[in-house]
Amino acid sequence: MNEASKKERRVIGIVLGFLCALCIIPIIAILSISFSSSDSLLKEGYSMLPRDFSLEGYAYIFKDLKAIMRAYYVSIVTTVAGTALGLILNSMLAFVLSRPNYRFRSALTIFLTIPMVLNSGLVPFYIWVTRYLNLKDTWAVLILPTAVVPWYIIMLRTFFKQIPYDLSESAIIDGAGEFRIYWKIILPLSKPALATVGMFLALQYWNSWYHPMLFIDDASLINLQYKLYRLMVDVLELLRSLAESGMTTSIGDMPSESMRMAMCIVAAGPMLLVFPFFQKYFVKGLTVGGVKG
Amino acid sequence: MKKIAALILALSLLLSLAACGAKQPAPEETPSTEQLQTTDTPEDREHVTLKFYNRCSEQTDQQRVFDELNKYFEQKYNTTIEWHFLGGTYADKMNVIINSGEEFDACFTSDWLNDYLTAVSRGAYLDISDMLADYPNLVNSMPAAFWDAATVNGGIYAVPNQQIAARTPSWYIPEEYMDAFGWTSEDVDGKGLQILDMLDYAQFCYDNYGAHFVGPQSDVFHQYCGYELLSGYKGALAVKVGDSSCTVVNFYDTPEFKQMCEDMAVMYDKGLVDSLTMLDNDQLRAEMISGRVSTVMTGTYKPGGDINISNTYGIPIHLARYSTPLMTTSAIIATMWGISSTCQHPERVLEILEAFATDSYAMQMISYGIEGVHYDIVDGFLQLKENSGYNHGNDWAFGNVFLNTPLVGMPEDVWVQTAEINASADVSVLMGFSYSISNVEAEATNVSNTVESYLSVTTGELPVEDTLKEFNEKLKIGGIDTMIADAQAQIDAFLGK
Repeated sequence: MNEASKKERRVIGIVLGFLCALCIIPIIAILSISFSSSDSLLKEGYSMLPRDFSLEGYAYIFKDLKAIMRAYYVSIVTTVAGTALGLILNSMLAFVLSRPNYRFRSALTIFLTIPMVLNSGLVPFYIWVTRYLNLKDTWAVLILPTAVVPWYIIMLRTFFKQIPYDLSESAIIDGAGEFRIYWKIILPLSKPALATVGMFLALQYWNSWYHPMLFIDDASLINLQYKLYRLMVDVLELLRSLAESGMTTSIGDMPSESMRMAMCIVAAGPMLLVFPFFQKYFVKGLTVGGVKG
Repeated sequence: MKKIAALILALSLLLSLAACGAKQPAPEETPSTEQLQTTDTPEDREHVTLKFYNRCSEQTDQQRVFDELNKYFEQKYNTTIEWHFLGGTYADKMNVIINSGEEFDACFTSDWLNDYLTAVSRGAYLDISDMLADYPNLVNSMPAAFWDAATVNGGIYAVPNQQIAARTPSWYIPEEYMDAFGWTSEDVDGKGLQILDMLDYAQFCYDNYGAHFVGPQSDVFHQYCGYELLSGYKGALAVKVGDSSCTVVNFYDTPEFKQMCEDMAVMYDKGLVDSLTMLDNDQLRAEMISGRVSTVMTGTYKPGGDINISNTYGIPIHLARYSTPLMTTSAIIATMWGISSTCQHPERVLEILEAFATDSYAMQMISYGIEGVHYDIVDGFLQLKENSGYNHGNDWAFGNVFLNTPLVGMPEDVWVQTAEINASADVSVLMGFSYSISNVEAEATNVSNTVESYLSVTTGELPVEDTLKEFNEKLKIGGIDTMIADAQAQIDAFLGK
């Protein structure tokens, strides 16, 4: 290795190290704040290492352990079921669209593109879901509305198109039906694309709180993000009502800052663990849609 | 396309069924209570279930309280209530629920959360003025002024919850510093202490404890200066208290406001003011907790309020009432129940609201839970149990708080005192008038942005004369004059009726 490349490597190392630090420092800060007591935060401000080790933020969140566990359960079920359903639906649609001999290809593409740019607005959506589909307070409302995403379909279609049509043709000659081609030939060849879309879907379901906020009243169907969101806004709401209404609310100690950070850890933790498993495919998947030899 | 839709539906149904079947959530309480009770209910009435939305945050043990309360209501009225405590999501959720016309029966409404006037103008609530005659106990449970305050264009669209409705701020004074300075509560309570009256005390605290003077907070400027605001401090529109002609003025252009700023400048020049603490709520909280504030003026004075505030800040704090309280529309409509226009049984809802206004058993239960489970009665005072799973601290969001047993530490006659304050208060000349911003929304946005960016003039740090001049010029450009004219027209119409 010559001098120049060593130097180059060092420069690259410094730049990348700096970028890494930019990503990691906030996470360390969040961890540190989540383990601090709100007293020390108020009096002394933030620090990279907690000045006093305190679990009060976590204690506040896990005060109601049963409900948090239930929320985890709801999140896990919706994430797993939603990702599976989403993958099947999106890839089926993409498969159909990738076939050159499908007659309504362009019509279906237009139909799928419309919701990418336009949406119905909140109130009609709410009325449609609650009154016509009767999905309020159901598992389905946590899964269905975001299961089919045009953007993922287009990504998958592009990938499927790169698989030589000859493969499908030879399968037809061997007597395979459309479904068998889809299931036995196209899907196994598209693992990187599926992993990417699966990752997106999983993140989307794991992080969803807005639809639960709109459609879920039943405490047993509240997912983790919504549960945490409620914990946080409840505290903010208490403070706000003190300020705005002139009403006094009897509240004891409220760990607000450390609780918020503890919440980040609780919410992001499982995803941080899952992510490395996807990574192998994820890098490959990023080039989905790119030119291939 | 149809096939795809059918497939989606079929798959989703399968999946949701599978997910449900995986583990049925165990209901938290035995569901049989309702069935047990139906035997001894007034059999001549139909059983109804009402849907109530409230702003309280969800309580871990709430189902138990609801079941117990439903048992009682079922026996008495053959009515059960399906409660929804929405907490911090209340504003967003109610907005969608009301706009989509979803069926519900009653919800919390006020001028600061789930806005009453907006909802009334959208036709969200029923006009109950004709029905009230059938509920004399409800009507008589509160002063007539409460009903006036809830009146909009001649109709009553909500039932107010009785609480402290006469507002005056107080100086928050840490007891330690007060004693050290040699003040007793007689020296400070209801004396209308001005900023400069605090000078010696603030200097003393700064010298001995390094505590800063914070002064009036933005929510009470108008009360400090003796004005009544039409729509919050960012709205800038005000009427002088006691001005029977009800002339609308720009609050930030009044001599009283200018005087306040000048007085603060005196304090600032002596080095007693920390402007950051003055403008930042989080900072104020932090400084209060660590005892670095000599005094701040904010909040609403309440008998027994010392306890709440001292708990919040963790140090004993004396609340020195500023002046004679003023009963205003906004203080009353700060907490009400609106009956939804989608409600099928308004008469049954009113019955329940009457119970919360007159029946201490029902009111105390929804406020504090079940005796022996969530609280105990000790020597005639209510002692909350720790981690009881039912302590929302918002009794005022449900009904007549005077029905509840006072909390430990409050004066024994707290409700008598409170009722006295309500009764002895000056009543606003604008009682019953509710200002509508709808004609001047664009101007109001300009004005509120300007107010927000010029609030720092109240710390005394900036040259008062020049800054106020600039501030008011900006307000003029933003359209404050249009707003004043519009508000004046509304008030004249109100007074002329």
